[in-house]
Amino acid sequence: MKINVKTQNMQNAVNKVQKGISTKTTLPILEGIYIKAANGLVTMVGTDLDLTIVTQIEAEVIEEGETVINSRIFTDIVKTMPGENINIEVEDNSAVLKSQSSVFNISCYNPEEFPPIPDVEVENGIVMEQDILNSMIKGTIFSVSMDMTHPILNGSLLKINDEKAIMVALDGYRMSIRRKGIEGEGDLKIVIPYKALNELTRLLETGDINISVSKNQAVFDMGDTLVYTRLLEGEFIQYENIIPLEKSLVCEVKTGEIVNTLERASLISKDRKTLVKLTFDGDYLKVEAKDERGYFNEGLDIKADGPGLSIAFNSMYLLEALRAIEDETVKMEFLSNVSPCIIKPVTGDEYLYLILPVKMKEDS
Amino acid sequence: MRSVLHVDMNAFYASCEQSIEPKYRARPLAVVGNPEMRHGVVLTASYDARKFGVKTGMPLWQARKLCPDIIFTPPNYELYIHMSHKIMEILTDYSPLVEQFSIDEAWIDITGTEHLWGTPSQAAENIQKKIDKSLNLPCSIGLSDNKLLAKMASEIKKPNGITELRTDDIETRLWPLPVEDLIGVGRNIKESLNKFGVYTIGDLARTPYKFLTNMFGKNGHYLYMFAHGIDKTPVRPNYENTKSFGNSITLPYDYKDRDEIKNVILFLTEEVCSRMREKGFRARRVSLTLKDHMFASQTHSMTLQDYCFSTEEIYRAVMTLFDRFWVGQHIRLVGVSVSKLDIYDYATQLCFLDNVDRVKKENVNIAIDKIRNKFGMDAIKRASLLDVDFKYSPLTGMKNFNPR
Repeated sequence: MKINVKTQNMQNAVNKVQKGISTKTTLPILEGIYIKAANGLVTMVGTDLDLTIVTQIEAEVIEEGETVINSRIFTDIVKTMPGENINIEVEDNSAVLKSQSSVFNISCYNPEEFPPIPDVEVENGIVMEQDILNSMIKGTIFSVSMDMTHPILNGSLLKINDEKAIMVALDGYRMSIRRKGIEGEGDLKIVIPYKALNELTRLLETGDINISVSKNQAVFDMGDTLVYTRLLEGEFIQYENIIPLEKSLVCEVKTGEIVNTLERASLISKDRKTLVKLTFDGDYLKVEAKDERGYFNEGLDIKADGPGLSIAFNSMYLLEALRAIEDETVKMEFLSNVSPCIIKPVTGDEYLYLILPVKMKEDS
Repeated sequence: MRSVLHVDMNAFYASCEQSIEPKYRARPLAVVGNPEMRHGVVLTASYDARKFGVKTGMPLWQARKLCPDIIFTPPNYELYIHMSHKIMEILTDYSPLVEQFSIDEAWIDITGTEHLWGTPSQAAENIQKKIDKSLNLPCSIGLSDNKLLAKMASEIKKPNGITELRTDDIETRLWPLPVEDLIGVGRNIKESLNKFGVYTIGDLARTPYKFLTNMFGKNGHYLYMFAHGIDKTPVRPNYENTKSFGNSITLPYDYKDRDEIKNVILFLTEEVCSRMREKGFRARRVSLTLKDHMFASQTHSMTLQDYCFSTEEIYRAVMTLFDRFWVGQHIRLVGVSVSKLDIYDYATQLCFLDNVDRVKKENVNIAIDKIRNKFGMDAIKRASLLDVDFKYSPLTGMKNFNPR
């Protein structure tokens, strides 16, 4: 294999596929980046077997071929090469990387040992805009459960039908829902694992994305870059049933103001988990936090309709939801101090955040 | 001024044996490493054996030569741990501030308990009598205003001594002692000090501070402070340093049936969790250790989304680990532990995944613990464990203490 490629292009490609590579692996070949040169294109692949990232860049292919190079050293080399172009020449088990007068001679793995790109027998698929998918993921990913006791919750549900897309993540203590109308046909119901979601937010840009699904695999096709992922198997939780139908207190709050207040409250915190107490009294909301080190309180002017209420939350859960909202004003709904808080838009149903409170001893 | 006691058990291992075996009492007795092996050594000698010159670390033949009537007995660590636990229970009746330092010694801060136990020396006497009466074990107690001097004091009169050594007494009582009697002075430091003509604790106290810190670094600081009888460290109850709770069982035979192993895990989890709850903690990380019949051991852990308090929640997590990593091998040992602890403050993050209300579940666990505290471990059982009976190892955590 012999190629000549723009350093900048190579850096971008390496940054994309490198995240697919697991740092903890028992198979040394998986620490490598697969590189294949053919038809004026260089294809690069990084995989941890669950997640595979494939990307293509244009290059001058002098001699076709394939190789696998250790990802850490390859990334570092590409990052520091001095010239505009890099010349890579592979013969047997060693690669020569040249840029200007810099020359690296490093050993490679046998490309035949590299796992094949998953063969996805497409059963169905849809097309949507990349930035829509990205905003749906970013608006829900923080609620994905990290707890292995419920494996199906270690990912987000993506459901598409009737030109409506919905994404749901929940960990038992809170739930995040994003809805968006999309154009085009097709329906879909998959649970995407956390790692794939996380990489997608990094890779998604603008333009269309093609999502194809087989039994337990999905491919996210963004043109130059493809993400293959294993899907989580099993039935996702019946999330609709969790949303309470009743409410007693409804209020409208300025998103920026309450986020700032909660951030201040979080300064009084232990182990990133601050308990905040919200006391609603007419159009006034008092936010309090307390631990061995000190006490915080702040008042907010809100628009409220309903009886007074005193309720405690893990401030991080409130903050993560509120930070994901772009609207200037949000609606918050409550029923009692042991029922969930619902955060949703003043009009429409583009998002819904449900957060369960913390029950204090004095409540019982 | 604080009042700190240092309770040091006398000839602890030998005294424990004498406590449960009347025929050993008032006789020369030695707990020995391994009486069958010729290279066994004396671990602890009773005071009646010490009269003949028998000492810790002495080879058996030598002990026998010094004292032909000596009785050798192998160690029974379970007994010593059990006794140790009982002693700590007695001490905590006098003050909540008890810091166990090793299997047979502890500090207890009795400041401000005069209205309950009288003067500090009356309290010391009271404790000494109580331990003797209920466990039949002798101890020496040192009394002072800090931990260092209390420990130095308990060394002065053995067995059955009560010695008061206050800061005001150090010039007359501490300084004349050889420097190696000071805590923190080992053989190397002693030799270095001797080279500079420092032979007594008084000599050390009169050595310039700068000289000591230049020579020994941070240790020099402590040597200087100790020589002046200064020690500001509080008596810190051991639970404040608690990082984890765990227990394990070596099974009577190799288990290969999931249900059978499941019960062992539940049994262990129950024990570990109730100890955790007793100390007022909840945990976020669980670990499972499995040893197979080839003695290959593996430990797997996971961190939970939130702190857990109830046996059920911890058990579910441990079983997740078990089902993920058990591939049908025959199991010889099972261990369960919890870590990443947090003080349980009765604030419970509600969860919609559980069928039963989390708070209710926690209250049930608290109720079960209460029943067991009052009527014993067997007073209330999980139905699935009705036929399961293992011996609880008494206080696994104590294994961290070095049996001297």
